[in-house]
Amino acid sequence: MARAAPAPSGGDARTRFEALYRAHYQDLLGYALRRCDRPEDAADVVAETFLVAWRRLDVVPVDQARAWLFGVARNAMANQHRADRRRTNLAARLRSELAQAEVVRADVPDEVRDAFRELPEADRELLRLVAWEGLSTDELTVALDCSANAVRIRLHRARRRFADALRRPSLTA
Amino acid sequence: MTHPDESQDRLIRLLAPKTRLPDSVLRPTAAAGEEMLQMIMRESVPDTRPVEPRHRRLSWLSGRRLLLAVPAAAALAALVLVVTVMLPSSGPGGPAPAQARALDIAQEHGYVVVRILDPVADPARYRAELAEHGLDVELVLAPADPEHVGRVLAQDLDDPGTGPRIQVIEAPGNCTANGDCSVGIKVPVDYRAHARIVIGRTPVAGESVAGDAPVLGADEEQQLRALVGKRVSEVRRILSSRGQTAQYRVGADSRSAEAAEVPGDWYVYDTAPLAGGVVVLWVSETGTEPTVTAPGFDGTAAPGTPPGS
Repeated sequence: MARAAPAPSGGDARTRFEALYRAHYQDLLGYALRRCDRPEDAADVVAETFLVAWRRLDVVPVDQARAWLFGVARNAMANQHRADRRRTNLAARLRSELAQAEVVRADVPDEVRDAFRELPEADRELLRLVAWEGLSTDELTVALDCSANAVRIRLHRARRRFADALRRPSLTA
Repeated sequence: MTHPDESQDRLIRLLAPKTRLPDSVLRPTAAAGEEMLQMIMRESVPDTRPVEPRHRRLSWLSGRRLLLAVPAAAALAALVLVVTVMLPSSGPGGPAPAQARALDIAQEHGYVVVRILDPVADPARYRAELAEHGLDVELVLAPADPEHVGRVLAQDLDDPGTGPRIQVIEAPGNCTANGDCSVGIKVPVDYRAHARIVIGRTPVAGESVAGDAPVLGADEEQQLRALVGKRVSEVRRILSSRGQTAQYRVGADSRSAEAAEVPGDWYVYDTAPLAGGVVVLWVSETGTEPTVTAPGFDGTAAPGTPPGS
């Protein structure tokens, strides 16, 4: 993985951050919307994540920025209790607009939904990152901060557990 | 022929919730996106503080996480332990009879149901009674505002690996304004990892209310950040001089520890504020965050995080 670009400064930092923001805003918003119970909560996740990216622009991997942002967003959601509420004003307008959004519940066979829910959360998020966000193994190592070998093993096990859950008689009867 | 992985991915994609949004919200160059961009760049400057992925298990639960944590009841085949808080509406009652049990534990409809008889009991009593059922679960009741009495305020969990996981019970229709619908937790009877569950109770007179992390001013944030890298002994003196108290988290699994277990010559590598002047200190002998030995994922994902599907 290409590591971070040299530490930016001044105008360079602004230019680079603006490019990063505009390139990944929509994907990050989608990521957050798919994981937040209320659409407006996704606004805070997006704001928190890009704030971290702006502050730590020098460590954002150039060719894996999207996956890196997902990893930050994941931590932001896991540590919401630590969020500095002063930051929520960053997301005020987006939050307000998202509050009007309509969430469409997917029409999915119960056995599929139940089988997926039965999985450990780590499995579910791994499978979601692959299926929903289209992350590759290399990108998963960035988003989840673990080795490629660990990703492959965990993904293999998660797929096997999901397949087992789908086959379970109680779910297919 | 379709590869099995592709078939799975197609099914999982079906589960993705969809949100209908106007184009004006989706475009980063539209008003909301542009405003956020400019405010972020105005708000702060890039700094050089390390930002490492966290393997934190302390999770103050938001409504989102609770809602998403809830499994379909029908899908739960295993016997589980249900903890519900049956608090007297008038608040913590009078003194419990000496030697009386703090918990009422019984089987109901395939679950072991735990009701809290004495909401102000020493947590050690809860723990001992839960241990009788083979569970390494700390149950702590913290004073909470009326809306959060009986709610799961926080979970501090070990990563159970591939084992069963604690889940939050939700009662749709019985939710706080911010969407917290928790009414208890389900701990599979074969859960063997350590868990610390904090549930809200009515405060007694004079108690401050626990809940979400306090909002800190810039100075307070700076004071907290300044504790990182210091020896525990020094941080203890600092907190004491400010009238604050410490809670400790140790090891890669972020296990809560008593002060007596934490040597003064250890170092603080992270902090977090809690209500009531309490500061959580993540500490280690070397001052670096312990690495997780098991490959993969952090335990926050367990029951607390669970984006549902």
